[in-house]
Amino acid sequence: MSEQDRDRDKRLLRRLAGGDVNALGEIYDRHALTLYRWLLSRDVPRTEAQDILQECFLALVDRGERAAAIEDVGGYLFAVARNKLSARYRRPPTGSLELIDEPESGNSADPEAMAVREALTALPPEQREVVVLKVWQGHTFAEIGSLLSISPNTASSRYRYALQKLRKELGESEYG
Amino acid sequence: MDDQQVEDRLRRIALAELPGELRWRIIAAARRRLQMRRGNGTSLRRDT
Repeated sequence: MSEQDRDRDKRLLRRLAGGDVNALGEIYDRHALTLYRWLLSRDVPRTEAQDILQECFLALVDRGERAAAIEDVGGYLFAVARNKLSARYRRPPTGSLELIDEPESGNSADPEAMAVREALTALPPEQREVVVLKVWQGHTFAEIGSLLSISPNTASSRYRYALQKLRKELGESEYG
Repeated sequence: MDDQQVEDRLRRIALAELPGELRWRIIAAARRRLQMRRGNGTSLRRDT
């Protein structure tokens, strides 16, 4: 995230702290998709991910004037989401990965989409989340480290391991 | 297949998008909270 983006976020937080709800809409537009896809990458079902997302943004509102003091709103939202996740789930959720649409919609009956879905499902969540943030959301390892509270080196090595596995999995189901 | 090819294959797949009504739902809830807070502030000032 550039210095300009950070300044923009800080201006929005100041407006929100002053009670301007439209500023929350802009913060949502800038950060909600990354947070949503991260939650899905952690095996959280879509409806629950949406509930957690709502709780995260309302936590910002509940800070009132103190919202203006938040340095990194993305990091703040991720920290709240992590707390909400651990409060909801004694064990990490497991189940069908809802990150990619089911065959009947979106990537309808696309064997390539199904192969990617299976390959992502086979990854440990700690690796999968880094792949999603890097490949689809375009974050750097430094940004991923900051969002997930891990070092950039850890983010980078998790990504390398994930790519090794994906290369093997996708190489075996060659549709590309 | 090299890393770049793996990344390219991944990027071709569309991930889930946010449902449109979620933004509206969150803004509406935030507006209610802000109004409630203002209301509480007013009644507190009246009490003192």
